[in-house]
Amino acid sequence: MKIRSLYIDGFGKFHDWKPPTRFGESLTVIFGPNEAGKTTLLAFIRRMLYGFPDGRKNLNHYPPINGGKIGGRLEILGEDGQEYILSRNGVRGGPFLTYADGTAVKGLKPLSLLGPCDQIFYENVCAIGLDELQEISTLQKGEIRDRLAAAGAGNLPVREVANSLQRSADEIYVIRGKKKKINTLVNDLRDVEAKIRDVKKRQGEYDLTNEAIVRESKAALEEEERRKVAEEEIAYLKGLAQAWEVFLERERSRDALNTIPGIEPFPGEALEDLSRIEADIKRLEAEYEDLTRKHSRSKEELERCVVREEVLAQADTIRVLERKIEHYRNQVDDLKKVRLECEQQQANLASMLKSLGEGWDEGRVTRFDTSVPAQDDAKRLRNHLTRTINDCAVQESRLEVAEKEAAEKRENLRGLKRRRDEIGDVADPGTAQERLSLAREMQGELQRVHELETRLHAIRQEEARTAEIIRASLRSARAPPSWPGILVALSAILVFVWGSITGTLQIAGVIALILLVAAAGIFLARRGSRGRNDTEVPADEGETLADQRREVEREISRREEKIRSCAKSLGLDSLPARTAVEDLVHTHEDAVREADRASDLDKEIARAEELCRSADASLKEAREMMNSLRSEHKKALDAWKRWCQERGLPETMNPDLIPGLIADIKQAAGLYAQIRAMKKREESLSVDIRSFEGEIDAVARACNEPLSGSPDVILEGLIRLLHDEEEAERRYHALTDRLNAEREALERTAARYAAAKADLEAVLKERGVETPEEYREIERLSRERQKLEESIRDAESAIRRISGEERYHDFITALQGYDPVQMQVRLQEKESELQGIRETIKDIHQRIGTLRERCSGIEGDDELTYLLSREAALKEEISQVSRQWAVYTVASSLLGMAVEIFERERQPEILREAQSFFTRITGGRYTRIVKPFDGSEPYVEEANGATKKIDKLSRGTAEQLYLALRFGYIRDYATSSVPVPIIFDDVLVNFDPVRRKNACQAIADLAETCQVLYFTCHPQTVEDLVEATPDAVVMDISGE
Amino acid sequence: MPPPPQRPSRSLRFVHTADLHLGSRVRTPPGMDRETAADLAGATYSAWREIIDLCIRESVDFLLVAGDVYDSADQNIRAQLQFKEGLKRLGENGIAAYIVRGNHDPDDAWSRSIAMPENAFIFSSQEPEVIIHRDQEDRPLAAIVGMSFATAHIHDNLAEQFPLREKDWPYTIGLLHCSVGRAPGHEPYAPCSIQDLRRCGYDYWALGHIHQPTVIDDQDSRIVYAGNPQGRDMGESGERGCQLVTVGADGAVEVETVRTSRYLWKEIEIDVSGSVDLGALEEEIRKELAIISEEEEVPVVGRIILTGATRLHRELVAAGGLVALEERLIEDPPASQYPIYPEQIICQTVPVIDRDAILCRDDILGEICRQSDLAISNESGRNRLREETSSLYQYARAYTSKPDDEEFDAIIREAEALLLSQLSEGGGE
Repeated sequence: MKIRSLYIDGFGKFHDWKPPTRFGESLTVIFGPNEAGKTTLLAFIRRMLYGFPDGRKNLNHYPPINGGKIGGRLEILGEDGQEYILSRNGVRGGPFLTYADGTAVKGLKPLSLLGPCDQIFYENVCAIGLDELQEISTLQKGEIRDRLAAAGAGNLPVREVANSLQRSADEIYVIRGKKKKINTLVNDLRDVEAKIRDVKKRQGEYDLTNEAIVRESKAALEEEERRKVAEEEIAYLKGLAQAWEVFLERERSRDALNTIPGIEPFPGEALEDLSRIEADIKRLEAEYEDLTRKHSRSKEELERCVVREEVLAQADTIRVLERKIEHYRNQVDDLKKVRLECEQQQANLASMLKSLGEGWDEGRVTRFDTSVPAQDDAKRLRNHLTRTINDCAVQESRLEVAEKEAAEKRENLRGLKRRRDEIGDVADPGTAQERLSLAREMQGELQRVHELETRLHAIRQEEARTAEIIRASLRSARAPPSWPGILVALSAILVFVWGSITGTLQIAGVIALILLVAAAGIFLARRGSRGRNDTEVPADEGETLADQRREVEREISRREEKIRSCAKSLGLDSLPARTAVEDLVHTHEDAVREADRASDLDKEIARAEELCRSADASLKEAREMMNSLRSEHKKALDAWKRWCQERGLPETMNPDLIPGLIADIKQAAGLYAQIRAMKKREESLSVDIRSFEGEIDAVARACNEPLSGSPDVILEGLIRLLHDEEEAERRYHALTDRLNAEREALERTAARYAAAKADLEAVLKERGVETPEEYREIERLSRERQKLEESIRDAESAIRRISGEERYHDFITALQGYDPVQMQVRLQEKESELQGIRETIKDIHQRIGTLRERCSGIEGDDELTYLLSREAALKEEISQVSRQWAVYTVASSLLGMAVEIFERERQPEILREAQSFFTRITGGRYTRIVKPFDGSEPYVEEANGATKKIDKLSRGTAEQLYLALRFGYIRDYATSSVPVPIIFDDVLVNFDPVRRKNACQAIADLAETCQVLYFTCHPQTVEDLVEATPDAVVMDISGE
Repeated sequence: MPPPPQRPSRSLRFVHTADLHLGSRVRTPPGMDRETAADLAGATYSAWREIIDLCIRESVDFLLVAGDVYDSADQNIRAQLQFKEGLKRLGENGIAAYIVRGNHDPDDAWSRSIAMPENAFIFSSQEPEVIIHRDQEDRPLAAIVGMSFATAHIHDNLAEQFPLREKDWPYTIGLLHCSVGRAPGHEPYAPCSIQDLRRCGYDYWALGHIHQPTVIDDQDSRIVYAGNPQGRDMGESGERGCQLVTVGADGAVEVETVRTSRYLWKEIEIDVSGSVDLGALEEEIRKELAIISEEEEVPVVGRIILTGATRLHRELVAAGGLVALEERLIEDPPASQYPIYPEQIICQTVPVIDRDAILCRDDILGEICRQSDLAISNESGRNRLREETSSLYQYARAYTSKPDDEEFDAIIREAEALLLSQLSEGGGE
């Protein structure tokens, strides 16, 4: 199919746009500089054919920026010769296909116009861009070969895909590979299986292990039995050994017993009783003696005891007094104290009265008003007084200050006036300034005049010179006149006329010519010299200078006039010299300065006077203030004096002392009161004391005691006496009682003595002996007998204990025939046997422990399930991975087969087509492209028969071959299927002119088979293309 | 009129389960983290615990276990101990257990050292036994007739030996591990027909052996396969649980399927033809997975199958897109209340390619299509390709088997799609 034309509603910069011409049937060159819209147009054509890409993709969607709705239409000439219109409006929705007149097309899908060419195929095969060619220059040698191969195979990335498939497959598995994915999985699986086997084996041992435990337990029980038996035997033997000693003991005792006659046993205490009785007797004897002695002593004592009755009779009274004595003593002390205090207070009072001064007595003191209001009054007056004094002081100092100030100011003023006088009379600043400026002006003007005079001088010189020149030039060459020339010219004309009249035109003409030439020469010479002549210039010049001079002179005189006027104003009558003017300027400057100073001083003086005035005013104020304060003070003082008078105090009293005074008076009054009270107390105390002393007296007399010493000493003596007498009475009673008791005791003791004696007799008689010694002897023997019998009994019961009741007799029998040494040996044997058994038992238990551990390990093992699951998972993975590998491998195979078939069946055709293009593009240098069937390297053949392998081609030739292959493929496709428009995007831009021409030839060839649209911005390309294809259509879109 | 005296609300309640396969392998997905994988591997144990909890919760009268309690081939002691634990717990709650042995756990394949507790009764393998189950007041509640496998490979029809129902038998239950009719994918152990079972006149046949819960017959004589209580791989996908049967005092029978599985295996097909890039594709998948997780309310192990025609086909299969997708779903699981673990992502998409158009073409692409058509239709063509792939299958023959013809054809089609999408790399602008 071919594109006839198109219309863009809105796309990028285009809106409502039709191309300037129709597309050509063979080659159309679309020409426009950069930014003209070639790329946009290319995109439009593509999108019209294959639709708009997904809006979400990140590429240029060419939204209409100049208006219109995105879309448009293509006018197409189908393979069937029919004209169609393919339109798209908006990004979504399918294309519409109508006939040229707009009627809908039934039964034909828009894309079927393109035949089996889908978008991918189109891009790979039917569109050739510059970047493809440029890429070739970046490829490695080997890659070029692949690229060329691909070019000849529909531009599909066969090699890359094949490599990628191989890589993916190899990652999984390679024959004899060891580290691929499948190997890892298989190894992991093997590991897991091994682990599972181990675990299963352990699990399988569970029952066996349990049974082993049962067996071992039984064996343990048996050994326990044996142990018990052995232990029993050992116990038996040990028992015998123990009993042997005891047995021997028993035998010994029995022998001893036989030597002692049978005596009735004595009761245990028999001996003791005896000894006791003997001791009793002795004791009783001693007691009797003691008692007798005591009794006689007591009697003596009684006789010595004497009691005073009279003291006892006063007992109560004394007691009463005793109770009161403390109180008496306190009162005595108090009295003393009170007296002392009283004296002290009187002394204080006396000194106080003295300090208060003359005329102060009790009456006055008590009368004086010491109340708080009075105190406050005093304070108030005092404060007032103090205040006034302070104010006066303050004011005095202020006054001083003010006086000082005023004096200062006056001094200042005087100083200023002095200075002003020094300056003297002087002009005011304004006038001085005026004069100064005049002087300056004068100076300036003088300067200027000086300059002007210099200039004038110069001008005069110039004038003189110029005049010289004029004269000189006038003397020098004059301009040649013009009349000779005219004459000659006239002559020429005359000659010529004469010549023509006389018929000697030739000669005349020649002569005339010569004459003309001469005339011309003359004129020329004149013109030349005129050029050199400058008479007018000096004249002019002369005039100018004179003007100038006159001007300057005028100026000078003007200025001089000015100077003169200035000088007059300044009081000079003539034109001063420059130096004089300078001096004048300086003088006037000084004058100005002086004037300024004077005026400043005047100002200051005025200010100072002002200040003096104000200072004086303040001084006056201060003085007035002072006076008023002083009168205040006097008033306060008077008030104070009045107050003192009222109270009878001296006027000269210092107000500050008043509070103290009042306090003292108060204190004195207080003291008076205190003294009065103390005297009263003294009285009462004395009374009490005297009465108490009287009482003591009375009692002492009643007791016939001396009255020496102080009353309380006397009383104490009486008390002591009372105690003594009471004590004596008590002793008397006690002694009497004792005597009686002793008498009774004596009687008793005698009786007991007799009884004891009788007892002794009886005991001795009982055993048939006379003396206690005999008695003792018999008792001893009996005891010994007892002991032996007991010892025998003990031994027997010990043996019984060791043997147990049942075996007692066996023991006895065995012991009777016992051999210690032999028994020892037997014992040792048995003990080692026991040891062996114990160890066996320990071993068995250990084994049981190990087995139990194994069992619980098996029971607690939950790894098995996990391992099994892992095994299943790995198997699944292996399956999947294998399948994946199979897919890759099958894909590789399919690809290989397809390529093989393609190369075998289709490629020769394509290569043939490519070959003709290659010849064309290389300008006939290369004639053949050969791909041998035996699979060896493809090569190209030159016209001269030389062959070159593909990877030995230069880049440029490789590019050409690439293009040739592409073209070949296209043509092959176009001739065997539906031809579609081929798009070129400025591919020849890097070709040198010769190659470019050749390439254009090739393109022209291609355009015979299908429509070619070549987009370019290079005019040279356009030319070459047009040259190669005369019927090419050039569409210039630069103006759009 | 006063209301009629209250009858007991139920006269009989029991749970029927089978094919526990305690401790047997669970095909954990490769990318799963160790903790979850361990948990998934132990899911059969959790399902058993769940069944026991159910029995205790519902205060059933007894539990029926129809064989294949554990895989004796694994010699797994722990599984047997766990089974015993469960039975003990039932015993503590006064619930009996009636057990027959199946082909995976026949009589001769249990540990001698482990004794089952008192409340568990294991039927003999010599001949069918009848037990009358009585309640605490000694009333007969149900009659249970069962027979165990003596060894692993029993091919006799055991159902024929079962006695006919007797008049004084209460609600009668037959307990047997067998294959009824022809069950594809299962070995025909103790084969029998529906007639053999109906003949006995029992009220309920509690069967085991087929892992998919199936009701063979729900008329007067109910014939039910409880199915295994926890799926172990994608082949055991879908709901798994046990049967809770309540027989009312009036004879009305209610059968409730109770889910006991901790993990649900599920195949999830997602059409991705609308996705424009891998990111959108992933989003689509995540959305779908979240929906499914919400629906199922249990952790899911999902096999994600992508279907549809998509331009992303090449990116998925050839540029590692699928692998990357899997990794991302594992690394960053879909946010949902119940976790959803990707087991595999299978790409059954096809590239957006007009195959018919390509077939007409004269170029390499067309040739590829022609060659693959040839291989599928032609035995020798396929064999040639098989040759190419035989080396790996030889190497790993112990662990995986060669694909069958159907599978191989699928491989060829996939290879072709891969090639076409890779070769169409160029194109566009």
